[in-house]
Parts: sequence; structure tokens; C-alpha cells
Amino acid sequence: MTARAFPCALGAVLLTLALAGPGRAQTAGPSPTPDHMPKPGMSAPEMADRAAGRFPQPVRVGDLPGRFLLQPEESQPVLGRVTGLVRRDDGGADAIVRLDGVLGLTRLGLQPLAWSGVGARLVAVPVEAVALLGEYVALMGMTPERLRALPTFAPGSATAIPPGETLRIGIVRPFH
Amino acid sequence: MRSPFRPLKVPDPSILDDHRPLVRQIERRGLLRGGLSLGALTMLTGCDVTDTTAVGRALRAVSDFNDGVQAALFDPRKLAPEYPASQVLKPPRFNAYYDVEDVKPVDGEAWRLELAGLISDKRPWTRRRIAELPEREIIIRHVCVEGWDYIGQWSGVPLRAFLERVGADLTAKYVAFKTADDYPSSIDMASALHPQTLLATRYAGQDLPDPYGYPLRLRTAVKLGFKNPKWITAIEVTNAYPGGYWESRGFNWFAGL
Repeated sequence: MTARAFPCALGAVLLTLALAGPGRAQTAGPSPTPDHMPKPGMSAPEMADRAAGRFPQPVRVGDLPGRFLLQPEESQPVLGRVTGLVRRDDGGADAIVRLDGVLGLTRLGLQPLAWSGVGARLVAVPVEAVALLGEYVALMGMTPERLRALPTFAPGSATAIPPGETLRIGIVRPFH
Repeated sequence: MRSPFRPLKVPDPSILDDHRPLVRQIERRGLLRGGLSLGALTMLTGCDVTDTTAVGRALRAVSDFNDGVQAALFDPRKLAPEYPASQVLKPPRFNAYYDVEDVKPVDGEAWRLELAGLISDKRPWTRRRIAELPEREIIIRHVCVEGWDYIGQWSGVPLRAFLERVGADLTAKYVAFKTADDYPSSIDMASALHPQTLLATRYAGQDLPDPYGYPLRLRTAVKLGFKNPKWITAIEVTNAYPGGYWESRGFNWFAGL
């Protein structure tokens, strides 16, 4: 090996170690999903069962619109914004959530600018699938993928629950 | 090709001869070794604070010094801001060192508040007897060490009134708490006697719901959130440092606001 080739080879080895080291550690195996995170494909009774264990607390319906819906992971990403609550056919309640479209500003945390971007749409999420986290709401009963796959909710297609009514919704601690 | 970084005028080679013993001591490995111990030092912040190494003791000493400064700055007559009822968050935020699904509700009828230490009347208290004591309501900001906060409306007997009633030694250093969820905690006597420190039994006018500490919890406006133990089962007045759940894991003990 020539004197010039040696430092090059050493540099290449160091670079490989630096790049491959953490990469290998990450692909060693998936870390176990924390217990509070939603299991994929929970049925409605399973969701209700988990929700009942979260000590449902009374909350005024009028206090919910405008709250961010958070994903239950450490960085607490914003998934959308609650716009209101409607009565389901089975007597339960759905939270209507506006999902961001392209260029949605909700994710940036710009609360005064409620514009959710081009192609924003509403979906109906069973209240059993959410929990109250202080002044936020967290998605506990379904994965973000399932939330985004929900059919679009047409405003006026269900009876809105008046703001003065009180519902009982489970609570959850912060995820960080 | 000549390196562009090579100076046009090189130093006199005799300089190297003058400093040869020093140059022989310089090793690249030294840099690696130094880097490693620097890394070890940063890792120590997550260590057990009972760590007996010199670094552990030094970090602990700085933390204790900070506690002393906070205690010296604390003004027992200065009130924390209070807020209008319209700003109260209902229900309040829940937090604990475990998930809400693991909360074990306390049976209010069987519950007793035990007293220990420098207290003359150590008879245990029932919910009914505590409800007969004078009550105060405060609407204060709960500030968590994690960085979030909310405004809550708490009522209950001021801790000062309770300590006076049971004949506690108000010159003692510490008031310590034991809880049903195994979350020991303690505060300094000056904060315990502060008018905005309550043994809270109600939130927003209702009995405390189970996950927020029913039947009795501490709520003080002059400390961070983690200094407000829930589901209190025993109070001790003492001069021996009692520590606490997070304090034994490296948090500051005084944790004033």
C-alpha cells in the first residue's frame, strides 16, 4: 500500500463504521410497541373496552372543537383538528376531525391560522378511539393509517351534539 | 502535487529538536481517550444519584446548592397568580409515573390519613373529619417539569391550618408524604405553610376524580407539578431529609416556581 493510499483507506473504513454502526443497531429488530399505542385493527368493542379503562371524565362538548388530535408517540405529532361532535346511529358519539390536506398549516402549530390546506377533509372518529390529554385529544384506538383511510364525513349527515351537553371521555398521560 | 495548505516558508527544523521530548508524549490515542471520558461524563446525567464517584458527588453538590439558593429566594408572603374560573381546564391533565390504566382507585370510606413525626395529635383522620375543616379554593397554574401547564381549580384545607390543628412542630424542616401509589414526596416547611398550599379534596367544585388523587392530594402553587403527590395516606413532620420518588432519580428537591 502506498503512503497516499493508506489515509484514504483509513478514511473509508472510518466513514463506513460511522454510517453502518447506528444503521445496524436500528435494524437489529423492531422495538416493542409501548402498551398505550393503538394496536392495528382494533374492533369497536375492543376500542370501547380500552376506553373504559382510561377513567372516562365528563367533558363539555363545546370545549372540544379546535383541539388538536395528537398521535400517541414521543414527539406527539398533530394528526388533525377536532371540529365538533355528532351522534352515531347506535347512540354513541363521533368526533369530527379535519385532516390536513396539502400544505396544511395545522401541523405547524399555527393555531390562529385554521386553514388545513388544499384537499383537507373531515372524518368521523368514535370517541372511544380518543382520549383527553390536557387541552389536546390523543388518538388511542386506531393507527394514523387507519384514521387517514376513514371515509370522508359529509357535514350535516349526522346530528350535531349541542355544545352544552356533557360526554364522558377517557384520559391519558403525556407521551414524552 | 504540492499541498495548497503547505506554508511557503517552513519553520526552522531546529525547533523540533528543541521540543523532541514533548513531541514524543503527544499521542493521537490521547485524544480518543479524552473523548471517551467526556462521553462518559455526559452519560452520568442519567445515572443513579446514589453514585459514589467523584463526578456523581460533584453533580449532587451543585444540585443541593441550587436547592439552597431557591430556598433562600423563596418569599413565603408572595402569592402566585390566580386566574378566572373561565380559564379552568376540565377535566385537568393527568400525569403519573405510570399509565392511567394502571391507576388503583382508593376506597374513600376505608381510607385514613395517618400522621407521624413531630406532631402532637397523631390520631388518623377520616374524609368526614377533613371535610369539617375550613376550606379554601385556589385557581392556579400547574407547571410540569416536562414543559406543559394548565390552569386548575382546587379546593381543600390549607396545609398550614391542618398542621396547626394537629399540633405540628412548625419550626421543623420538612413535611413528608406517603401515597397509595408508592410515590413518596416531601416539601420544605416554608412552602408547606404558604397560603396557596392545600390538602386538596375537590377539583372544579366536585370531589376529586380517582385518577387525580381521590380522596386527598397536595396542591401547591409554589412548586413544580411533580411535588404534588396524589392519594396521600400519611403525613410526617420531620427534620431528617425525606427525599422523594423523582428526587431519588436525580430531580432537584426544592423545585420551586
